Amino acid sequence: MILRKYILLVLLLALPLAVMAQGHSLRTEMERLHKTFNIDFVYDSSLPTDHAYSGPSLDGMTLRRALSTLFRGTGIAFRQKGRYVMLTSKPEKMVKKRAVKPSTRKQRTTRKAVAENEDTPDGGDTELGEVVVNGSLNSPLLSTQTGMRTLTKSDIMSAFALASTPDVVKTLQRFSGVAPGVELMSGLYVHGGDDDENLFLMDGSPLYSVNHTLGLFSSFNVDVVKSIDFYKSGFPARYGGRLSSVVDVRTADGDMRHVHGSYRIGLLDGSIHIEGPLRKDKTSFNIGLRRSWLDLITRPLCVIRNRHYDNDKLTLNYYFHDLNARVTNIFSDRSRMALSVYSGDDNLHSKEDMSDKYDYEVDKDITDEHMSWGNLNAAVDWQYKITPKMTSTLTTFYTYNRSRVTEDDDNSTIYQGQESSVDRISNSYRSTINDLGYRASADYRPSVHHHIRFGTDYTWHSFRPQTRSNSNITGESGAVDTTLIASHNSHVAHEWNAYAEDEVSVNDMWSLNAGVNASLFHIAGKTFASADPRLAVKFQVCPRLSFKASATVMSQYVHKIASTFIELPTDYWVPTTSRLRPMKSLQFAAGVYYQPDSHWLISMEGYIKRTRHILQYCSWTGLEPPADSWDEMVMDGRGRFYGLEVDAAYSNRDITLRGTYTLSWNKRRYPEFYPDWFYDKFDNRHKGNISAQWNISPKVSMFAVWSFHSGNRITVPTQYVRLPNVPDGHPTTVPGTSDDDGSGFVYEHPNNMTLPAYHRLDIGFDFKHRTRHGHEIVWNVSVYNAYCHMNSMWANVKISDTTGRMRLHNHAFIPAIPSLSYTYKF
Amino acid sequence: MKKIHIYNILLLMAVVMLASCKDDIRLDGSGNTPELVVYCFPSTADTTFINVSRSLPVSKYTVKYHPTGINDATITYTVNGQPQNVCSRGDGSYYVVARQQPGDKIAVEVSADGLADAGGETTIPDTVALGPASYRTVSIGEEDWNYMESYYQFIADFTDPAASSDYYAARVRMKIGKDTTEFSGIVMDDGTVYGDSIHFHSYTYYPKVYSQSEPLMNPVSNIDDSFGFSSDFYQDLCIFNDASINGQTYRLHLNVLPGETDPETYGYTYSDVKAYRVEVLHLTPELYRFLQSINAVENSDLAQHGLAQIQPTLSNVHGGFGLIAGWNVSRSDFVSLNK
Repeated sequence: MILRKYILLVLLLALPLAVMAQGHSLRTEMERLHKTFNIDFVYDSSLPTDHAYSGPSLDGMTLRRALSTLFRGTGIAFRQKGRYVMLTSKPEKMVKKRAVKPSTRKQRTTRKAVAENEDTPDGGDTELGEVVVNGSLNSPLLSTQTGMRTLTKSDIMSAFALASTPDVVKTLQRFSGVAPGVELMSGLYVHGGDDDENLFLMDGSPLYSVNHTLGLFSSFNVDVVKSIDFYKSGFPARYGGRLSSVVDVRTADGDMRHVHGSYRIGLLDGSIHIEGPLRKDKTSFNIGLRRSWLDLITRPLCVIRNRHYDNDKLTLNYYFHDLNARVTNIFSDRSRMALSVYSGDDNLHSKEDMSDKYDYEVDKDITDEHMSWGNLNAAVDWQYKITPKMTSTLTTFYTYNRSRVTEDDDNSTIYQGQESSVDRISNSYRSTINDLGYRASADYRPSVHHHIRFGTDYTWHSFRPQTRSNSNITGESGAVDTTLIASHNSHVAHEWNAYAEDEVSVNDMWSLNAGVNASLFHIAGKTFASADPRLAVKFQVCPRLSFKASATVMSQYVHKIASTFIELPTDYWVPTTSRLRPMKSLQFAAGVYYQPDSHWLISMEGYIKRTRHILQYCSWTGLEPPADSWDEMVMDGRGRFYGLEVDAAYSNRDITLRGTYTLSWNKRRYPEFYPDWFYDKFDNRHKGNISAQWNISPKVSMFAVWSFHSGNRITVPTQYVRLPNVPDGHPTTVPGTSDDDGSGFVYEHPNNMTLPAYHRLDIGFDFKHRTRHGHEIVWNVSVYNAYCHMNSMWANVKISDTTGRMRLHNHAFIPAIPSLSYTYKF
Repeated sequence: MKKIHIYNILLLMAVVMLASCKDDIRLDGSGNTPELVVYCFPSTADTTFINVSRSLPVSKYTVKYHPTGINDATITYTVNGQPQNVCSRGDGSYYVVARQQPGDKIAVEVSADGLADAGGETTIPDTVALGPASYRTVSIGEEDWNYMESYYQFIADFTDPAASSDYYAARVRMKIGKDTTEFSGIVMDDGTVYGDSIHFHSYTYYPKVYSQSEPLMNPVSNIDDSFGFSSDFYQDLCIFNDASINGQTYRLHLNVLPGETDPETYGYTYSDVKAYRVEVLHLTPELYRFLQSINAVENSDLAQHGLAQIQPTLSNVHGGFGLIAGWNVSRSDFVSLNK
């Protein structure tokens, strides 16, 4: 009953969005044609497919007429070959033109220079440079894998933005089967898995920390993202190392012909993006830089504030930045190489300088705290086409992840200009990961029925968690004691993987992807081995209907040690040790995918996932366990996760509506923690999203998303009981240990209560304007949580002052948050 | 027409942003039924206490009522299946006098009117080999206050059994005074005597043990402290396990503030003799986990604020709540603190 009410509410909220209007980009129209006619576009990435389309509706036209109408006057020529439509840039060239004089019926053939923007019937034979296959194979209807979604840059850029550009991880959070975790954070809990069970790859190199601002923003700069493949089940054999999901982010090659880019200023950050050729058609670059600028406000504010306080000086600033750079070089038609670099950094610094002046002495107290964390990744990949049917790729990568926390507290007394006493305490805490590795892969298509992928990779891991140093200098002048304490931990591990998979098109109806991912993990004299089979099968009943099923086994050898549900710089990663066993998962998924007409795509997937040897930190007497003995302080457990996901998408000329619904159960069992199965913190029984993108006019577009999920679970006490005196139970044995009546709360069951349902509406508008130079300006106005529903974050039991009864005190903090950004594209 | 749409939407947004709503959460349905609460911690001591009370469901709680002891409970206490006589002490407290040895299986079953029957069982663990104790004075920097604090650090070696996972607590027992009779009156100049002789006894107690020098007891780091973690122990009973010392002989470092070895703390006005000894308590796993579960909640601000998992309070009592958990103690000899 409640569910029906929610669905009704969702429909009511979505109703105002279902209004027709005009205006769209070429790319969105191409996507619509792709869905309508089941065709694939092949084109150079430099073609201006982002340009607005303001022509007549393509609905009801034949394919040929629709293509002619769409590309008329755009400088793009097309040529259809089977299900593929090749797009090329119209060069200025001589074409034969045949004219017929009506009166005489005579024909005359001439040669005429055709301007780039002039219409030509079919385009012509043009040599293609780089081509991009615009992924029909990734459509849920046609791809073999279950649980796979592909996002392009335009998919993300059209999404809602909170105080920044649209966010990759927050876009993924809207997918079915994904729980977002704590509000505003970039949590990704896929099919009940933990946040450390997601494999994030940036151009093939793994990322360990993908968040800025303690999770408020993800590390991916959308400006340079080309595509994202997201898998939540049906993992192909080429991926391994994590249990729950794969997020394979690929950055785009720079434009080989033209320099262009954009810059943007948002409420909290700004970015600049530029791409272009270094050598035309040979070498290109693509650079994106993003930086928050909150510190540019806090620094002067602190200066102003400090003018009024002579004895109390405060400095507070925070910033993050990320830099993505990619240089691509095409050696020949068969060989190309790319260098990708990513650098991301967060810095939080606070300093308080207090002093008390007396007649003859000054007491000073300086507290300086600094937190920083980030990643540096570099990857070089070389693609070589060995034969027309076989391509190899060699990727070498380096990943550096670090977090550092320092605290300095300096108390000193200065007497008549001399330091008479001093107390200086300095603490430093640092964790780093260095990964160095390669991946060699081959892509072989011996026939139209087989697509074979095989390869191997190796990663050298060096984990150095919790390098601590502490210095304590205390005493009076002439008698100062200095204590220095330092400790560090180091774990070196080697990880090998080899995989092979074959995508087999058995016939027009059946296809399958079968493979195996074999891995070896060696650490401290112990080697773990695993061979994880993967199988996905698709039965294409007809072009509009398919059924799919998959079975996958995944292994994970690295763990993030965290005791909280938010990402902190003190979290650290460690490899499996000889005391533990690698985490394993077995997942079955099956689904049906239906495209009733060219506007709709509906799918329903179910999954069952079992995990073993999942870990939970078992002692909450500290933020993190000591890194030298962390494996003694984690509990080995199991997980049971199952659910049903429904996705529906509707699109027409101007409106794209998407809806997702997930019904899921997430249970865990750690015998040392609780003897029975219990629901996970983020066991959101119902989760739904409805998003709408509406091109109101060529200059105005709107995006709205309504998100709903059952509340996160919390643990609340159920009984108030007398507590015992220990160890012998005698009421008076232990003196002075109880300042009350010896009673206390009992937490009988973990996660025994569900917070109220979470729901919010985000709305954003893009106002576009084209300058007389042809450059585009976009103003984005967005409101997060537009109807200001203060969603519960946690609750605790309190005694009401008025009734004297226990009551739950609900804590909700996130109101409506407006944001604004300005983008200039050149 | 489109402009009207946009203006309407913007107007709607402005209106809804001015209002906010927050959900109401109720405790109804969460643990509405009172339960029988039973605690019993048998050891090799000849007297074992059993505490029986009635829980108060959180949803029924008011400041006027507190969990109450049950004086008319029916209790069956068996040692290796042999029933023992159970006597009441009032206020829900009962005791059993019985000879109990390591390895004995103790079972307790309790019934009381209006509540479901409850009970459980445990086994008394062995003692561990504990060497002689000694002490020294150490100075440790206090992070919060930027000064060096002096402690008595009590040291003793004990040997952990290799074949099992073991759980412990450690404490220091202080002894003050001596068994003697002393005159505490006043003798006037004229020889008149006012007052009387007083018989003084030795007094033993357990001062608070600070765990910052003992890695097994998870002392919090500065970073932990910054994020609201503490390392307090329920009733100051410092617990630890053998995960990192299994089968080894290990030296414990137990710090006690000198002021807490001073008998004035406990109302005594003399300090002629002070002695101490180290005690290592061998706990059953359920007793350790019960204490650890209470400590975990109390020591984590993040858990109490919903940002970290709250550990459920362990109970091994079927049909109700509580703990039937054995323990045993190894003691070093008393050593004079003044030497």
